[in-house]
Amino acid sequence: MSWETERLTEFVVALSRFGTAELVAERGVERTAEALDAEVAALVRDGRVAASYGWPRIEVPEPALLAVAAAGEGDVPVPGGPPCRALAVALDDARDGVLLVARRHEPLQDAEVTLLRGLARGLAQSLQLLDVVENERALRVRSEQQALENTRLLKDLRERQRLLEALGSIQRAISHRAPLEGTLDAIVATAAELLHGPAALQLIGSDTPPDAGVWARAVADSRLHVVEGAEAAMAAPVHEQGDVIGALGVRSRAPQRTYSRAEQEILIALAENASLALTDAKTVGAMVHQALHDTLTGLPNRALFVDRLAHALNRRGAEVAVLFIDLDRFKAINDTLGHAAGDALLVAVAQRIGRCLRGADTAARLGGDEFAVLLEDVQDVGDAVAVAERIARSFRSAFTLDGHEVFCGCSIGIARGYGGGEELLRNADVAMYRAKAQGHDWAVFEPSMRAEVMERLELEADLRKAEERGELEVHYQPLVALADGSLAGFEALIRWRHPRRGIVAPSAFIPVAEESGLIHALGRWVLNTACSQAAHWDRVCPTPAGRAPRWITVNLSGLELERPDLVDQVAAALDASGLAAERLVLEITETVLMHDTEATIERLATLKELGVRLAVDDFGTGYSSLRYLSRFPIDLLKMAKPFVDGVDQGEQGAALARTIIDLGASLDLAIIAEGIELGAQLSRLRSMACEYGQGYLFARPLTVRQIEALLAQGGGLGGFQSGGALYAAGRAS
Amino acid sequence: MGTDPRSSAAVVRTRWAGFGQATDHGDPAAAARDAVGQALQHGDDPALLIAFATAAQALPALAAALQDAAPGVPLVGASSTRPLAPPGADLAVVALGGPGFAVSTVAIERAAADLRAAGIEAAAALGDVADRDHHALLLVADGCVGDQHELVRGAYSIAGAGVSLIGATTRVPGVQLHAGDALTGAVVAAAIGSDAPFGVGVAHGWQAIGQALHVTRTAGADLLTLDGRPALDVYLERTSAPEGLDQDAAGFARFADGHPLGVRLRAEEHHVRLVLGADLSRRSLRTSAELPQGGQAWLMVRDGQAVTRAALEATDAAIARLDGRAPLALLVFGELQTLADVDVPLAGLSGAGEIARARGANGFHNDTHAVLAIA
Repeated sequence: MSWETERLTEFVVALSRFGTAELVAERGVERTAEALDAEVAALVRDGRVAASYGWPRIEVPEPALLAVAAAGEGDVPVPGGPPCRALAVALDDARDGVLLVARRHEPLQDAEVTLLRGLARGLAQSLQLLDVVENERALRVRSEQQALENTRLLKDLRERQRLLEALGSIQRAISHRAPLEGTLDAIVATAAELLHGPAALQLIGSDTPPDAGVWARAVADSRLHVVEGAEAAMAAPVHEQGDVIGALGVRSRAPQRTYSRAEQEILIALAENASLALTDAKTVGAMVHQALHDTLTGLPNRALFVDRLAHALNRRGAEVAVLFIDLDRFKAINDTLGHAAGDALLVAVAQRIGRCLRGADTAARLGGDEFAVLLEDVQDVGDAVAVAERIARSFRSAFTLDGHEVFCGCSIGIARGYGGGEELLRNADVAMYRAKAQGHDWAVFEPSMRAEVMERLELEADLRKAEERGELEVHYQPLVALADGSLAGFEALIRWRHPRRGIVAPSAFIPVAEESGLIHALGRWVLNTACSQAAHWDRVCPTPAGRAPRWITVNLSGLELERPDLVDQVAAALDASGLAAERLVLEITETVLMHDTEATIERLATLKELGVRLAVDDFGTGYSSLRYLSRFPIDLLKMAKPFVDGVDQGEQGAALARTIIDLGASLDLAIIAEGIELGAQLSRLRSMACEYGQGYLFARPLTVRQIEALLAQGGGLGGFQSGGALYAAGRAS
Repeated sequence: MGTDPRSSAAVVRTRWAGFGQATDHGDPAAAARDAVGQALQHGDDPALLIAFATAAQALPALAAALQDAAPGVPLVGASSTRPLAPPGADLAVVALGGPGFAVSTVAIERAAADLRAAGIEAAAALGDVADRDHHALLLVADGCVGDQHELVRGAYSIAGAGVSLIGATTRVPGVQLHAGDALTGAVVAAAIGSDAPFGVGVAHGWQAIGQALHVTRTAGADLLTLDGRPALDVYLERTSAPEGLDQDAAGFARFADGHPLGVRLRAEEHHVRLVLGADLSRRSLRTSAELPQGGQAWLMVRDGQAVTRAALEATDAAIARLDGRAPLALLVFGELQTLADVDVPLAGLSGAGEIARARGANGFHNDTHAVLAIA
């Protein structure tokens, strides 16, 4: 191996042991000087002296070295003697590296110059390799730093993820309407975990109200409060529907704890979630209450009532009773006075029912005008009856609605606890129907009633279709002037010819019609039919001269009387038929007149303005006040059949009939005796100067053909003397 | 005596050098007083005492006695198992004094951890004498620790080409003397500033023989493999060493002392590297300085005439660098079997290696005659 090769090999091997470019540069110039037995050597790179050897640190002649590096050779100061000739060799790297060396005792020989070039190349390669390594190291450092940053970010992300998961779990609990207590516990636990300290939710009015420290300040100021230092803590306000009701806070176990902005925001977020949970729970509570309670009366609704009923049955079985309360004539009142008055009535009814109950009893509004009462601890059905009677009595007095006095009765069905809640309710409902049908305040359910209800429901269903099926007819019962037996008029009576049931008595289907509201349509149909028929008979068989024109009487139910458009309907019927108004007599029962008398008087007056006449039906069976009787614009009184029956049953009976007749005379009201069946009755009534009468003695209600046959026979004077002509005519047809 | 500061008479007034020696009679204090007294009688205001002692003496007591003999005077030195210069002395003391000298000494203990840093710290003492025109750095180090070449490189990186480097590394059980202390594992340095130049001369009489050995693997100063084989095995073969030396560490050390290796500095110039010992289990050699891996090494031989020539050459070279001034004293390190016949007080020590930079940047030698001429 040549000396130069040996030196170069040693040089490269020596440099390979150094791991940084700085060390390679320093050692490189050292080994260069040693290899060439030179006093000084230097490396110029990036326009500056990167390393030097042989000059004291503070005496490196940088300008001279840079000049030589640029020129390739030149003199440089060398300590301990005069300047020496220096030779510079380029490294041929990307940083303009130049290796230069100066030797005092003799110039470099050719072989040494060659060696110097070799050393420069070796140094360049070593530096280049280290530049790459350094870049990679820097890259690795950056990667490690990035990894650390990523780890920190990941930790932040994990913490943030943990926060998001916690918030997500809390918000799911809120949206799923999880129990409030559990949701609030989760919020407090999350605060303690994420904020590294004991946490608490303090609410105003709770066992741990926020009355001290940051909790109290957060409530007072409605904002976050932070205390740092030895006893660090922070609290954020909690709201319910916008009002501050407490605070969520956390304390620190660590001394000199500070809370970062991020931690404060975490607490605020958790407090807001607590606010959301509390507000939602209150809203839900209100919604649940609203969902289970009647909004008008505040009573439990059907759903809640049935639930309570089921629980009561589980607990007490037969010791449970249900009252089903249905208001009488509510629809008429609602239609007459308006829905606001109807609502006010329902509220007042709820209050009256409530005042009749014991503490453990539950009242509910099932809907419409139906109420129910749940009675527990019922040892005997009499206990339930007592409550029902209390309620019924409470309805006797008028309800004052917007300055008006309104009477509203009720029908109560009672059922004791056997079977399920719905069945019990149905049974009570059935019993209510029985009470209503019988005109009683209450009725206790018996299994047989169910059949009646079913029958009733079927009847109603058939009745709805009766008119369109042509099953309805109007029969007419003659009204007779008792003095001369002449035909005074007819009373129009509805008849239902059911294809399966046969003739259904009005007493069977009229109550059904009234309950179901069909009475209005039926009444309108009867009115129109009767007016048209009467007008037709006037045309085809006019009243003989010298006699008062025949009248037609049509019964009005209480419900019809309360219709606001009754007058219009009557007027329309008269217009359509062409019947003169004074030919029409509207019959209204005495009991109907006694309801809401002021309004009735007003309605009757309006009807009178049409020109029609009004008659009080079944007079004597109600509780008429003579004062009111004088105020009613009525024209006729129809003496109830019981009084006619008693007219020849002794003096007392006759006296009652006479009283009525005299009353009528006093009030200038014509009297029609109803239900005359016997000649003796007729004789006595005539003797009392009763003007008109009707009954089987003369004729039962007749069909149109029978009436027309009667009219064809004249039906005139003496026609009823015997009292049987019409009857005979009726039977013949 | 003229006033020319360059004349010897004037130099003697501004700078003086004294010499003293003693033999060991078992009384370090007496020997110290005696040698120091001799050295200091040549002038006032001593600036530096340089003491060399043979290792047979009680060196700690001797070190203390030397300082006691010249309280406050900077003291550096070393011991050696080999004879000193001048011959027959067990204690040789050189004193430098006068206002023409400025001295700063430093001891870096536990220097083996980083010899380069120790060299840097040692050279930093030159800052204390920077105001003088000429500078020399005397280094004494424990030659049994680390790559002594690094010590020289560290010192040169601070001192630079304008400072005369001279010194020695001690052998076991040698010590380094500093300010009354006898140290081991240390680097002791004396930075000398002078109004007159110093001269360093280096020469050896060794020659390379035989085929070159390829230095295939080293670890600092441990030579692990030669020609790809365990270095100990190759060395024993090439030196035709007696049988059994690979099992006898002490015997091997004695054998290796006379069979150094050499590395080629320039085409025809070799530097000697001592083989100080061997690691018999690892089959490696311990050298006085790192042999460059990837380079070559040779077995070195010499004869007595070559040694003599080297002594003369080094001495002459050192004195020649005084720019015509007469030397006040010579410090000699290395091969002391033959000394130049000069009428100049001299003292010297033969250690494990020599530190001397006459030219270039290389400054570490073995079995080399190194001379510092002080004017």
